[in-house]
Amino acid sequence: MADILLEDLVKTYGDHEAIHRISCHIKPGEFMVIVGPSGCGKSTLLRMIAGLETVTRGNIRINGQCVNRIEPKDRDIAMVFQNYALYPHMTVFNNMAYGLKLRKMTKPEIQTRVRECADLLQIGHLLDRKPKELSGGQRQRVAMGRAIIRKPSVFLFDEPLSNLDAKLRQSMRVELKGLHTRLKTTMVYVTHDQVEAMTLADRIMVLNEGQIEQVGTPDVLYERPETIFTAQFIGSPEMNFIKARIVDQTLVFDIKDQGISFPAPDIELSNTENLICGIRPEHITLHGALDSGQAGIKGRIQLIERLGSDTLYYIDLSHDRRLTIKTHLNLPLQIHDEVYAGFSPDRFHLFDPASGKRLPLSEKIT
Amino acid sequence: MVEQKNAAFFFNHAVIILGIIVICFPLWITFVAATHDAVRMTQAPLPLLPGDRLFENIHTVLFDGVGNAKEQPVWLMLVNSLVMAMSIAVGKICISILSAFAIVYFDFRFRMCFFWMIFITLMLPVEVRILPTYEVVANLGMLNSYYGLSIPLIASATATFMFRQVFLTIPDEMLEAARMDGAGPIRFFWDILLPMSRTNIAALFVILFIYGWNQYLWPLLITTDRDMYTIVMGIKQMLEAVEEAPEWHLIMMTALLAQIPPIMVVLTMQRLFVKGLTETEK
Ligand SMILES: Nc1ncnc2c1ncn2[C@@H]1O[C@H](COP(=O)(O)OP(=O)(O)OP(=O)(O)O)[C@@H](O)[C@H]1O
Ligand SMILES: [Mg+2]
Repeated sequence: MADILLEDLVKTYGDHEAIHRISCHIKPGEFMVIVGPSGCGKSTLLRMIAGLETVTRGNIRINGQCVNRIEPKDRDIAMVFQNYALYPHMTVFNNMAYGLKLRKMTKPEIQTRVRECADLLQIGHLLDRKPKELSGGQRQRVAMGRAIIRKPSVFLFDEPLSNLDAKLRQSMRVELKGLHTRLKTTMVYVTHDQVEAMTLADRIMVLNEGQIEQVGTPDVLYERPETIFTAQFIGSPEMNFIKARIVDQTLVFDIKDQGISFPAPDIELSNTENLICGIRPEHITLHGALDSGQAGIKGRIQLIERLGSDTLYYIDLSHDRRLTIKTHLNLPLQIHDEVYAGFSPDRFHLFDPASGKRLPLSEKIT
Repeated sequence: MVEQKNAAFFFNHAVIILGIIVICFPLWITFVAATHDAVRMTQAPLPLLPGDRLFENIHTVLFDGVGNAKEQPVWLMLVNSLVMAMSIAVGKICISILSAFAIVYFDFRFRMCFFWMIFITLMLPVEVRILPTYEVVANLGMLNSYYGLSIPLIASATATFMFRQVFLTIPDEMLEAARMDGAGPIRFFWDILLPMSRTNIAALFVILFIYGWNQYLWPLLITTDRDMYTIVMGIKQMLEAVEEAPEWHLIMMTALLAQIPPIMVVLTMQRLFVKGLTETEK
């Protein structure tokens, strides 16, 4: 177990700055997942921790020791690559044993280690095969075995599951989580898949264009996204965003021809005219007709997606605005039906579109 | 439809058979000639069926020599050729793979400059720079030696380009994984890079061996000592017998023997060779 401390980390390629002053503390034994869209610098950050990229400015400390100038092999870390990077000419056994051999470990010791590790990953029967003779999932296990076998104090994963099919990905995810509970090693895991992030992580770091948007537990990220970006990135399907303003202590949705308002607290805001209200699809209710006294927005069903347990409704409001609604109720609705969307204001997230930040106000609405 | 198919079938096969005849008939004639005696070879018509002197001819050629190269038995020429072809093939591969390794995996100053300098040697085969090269070799006292025969031909890193391409197809993660495992550059080269380019090395070896074996002009220029004659130029010398008619049966036998080593190389390396030229999966 080791902790990793990133201090004002900067990485530039030529005059392009890929990582802007990232600071973060990864605790011992923590499963930290780094997520973000393609090209946001996830791999770059991970490879800097691994020592495969140089650090332009700032420090990386593993267990308190600054490792900026230490070779990857001396950092006591292991990495699993996206395309496995198994040595094609070596058997599974040799792939796993290679690192140990270079560390001058004795033959019998290597034997027992490989056995032990192969049992853990259930690849004992594959030891004599070459990587070419393995399935994708098996290769992934071998790649993990190659990392585990050295008993490093930190594991780094760069999108290790993205080459697998959906079903296998799910089962590997569960196994990986199990592996972490058993080994209790610090793990840093890069992915662009927010589902993987939510299910695996102790904490998630959301990265956008080389900057940290938010670091927090999956629950915090889901319940209290600090920026529009995080709100949009975490959760599937994506959060709905509606333009809103506050008039006379009420929150009014900016939807033409349709008035709907909610009580808003009396708080001084510099800008009350131009707000963004985020609502998760599962926090909107769908009605065929409105009861008296109930408020709702009228729309037309554009598309229905049945996922089995849940159903997604894509509602077309007037003027090119759309809402996504997720419900587990089985409603007798058809495509093109006219429906009403109902809201509960305590589930609203309010953002300032100029800064992209969450407004403190959000907590106080009710 | 069926008739059309048949027509295509016959046409294709006719072309194939014709091609085989064009290639094999001279070989057959060579073989037949090599099994007769000198007298039969001067009579018309030339024989089309093998005679009975195959083993005697082999023995004569290998150990006694032919024509005005009488003092040099053919086995010596074969050895000379073998040493030359081997040194050229092995030497070129070693130099090329090392320079490709440096150019692909190390970041040093003027890297591209070196690459292009190596690349330019592609345009300067030995035939182009033959006089200056001769001068250099003569000054270094390497005439009539294996060094003189092979080094100037090794000294063009034609295969660097090919190895560079091979290394570029090896994913970067392979190097990174090896670094994580604790392999330094030399370990990486021996344990990962070399085994991974095994088939390419084999393919290149076949090509370069034959290239070296077939060298004619260069050995002709720098070997005056008959003990250093290579087989390809040796055959030519045999034709220039002054006082008597060429001993066709023995010359043919020599030609036949000269073909054996390249064929052996191709046959033994065939599987790797094909893989090396066609394999893309890494
Ligand atoms: N060797 C390099 N030279 C120049 N720019 C680079 C280099 N490597 C990465 N970059 C740039 O740095 C940025 C971050 O790249 P990085 O590979 O970390 O993205 P990523 O978040 O891992 O994306 P993905 O999810 O697609 O893997 C990108 O804009 C990329 O173009
Ligand atoms: Mg990446």
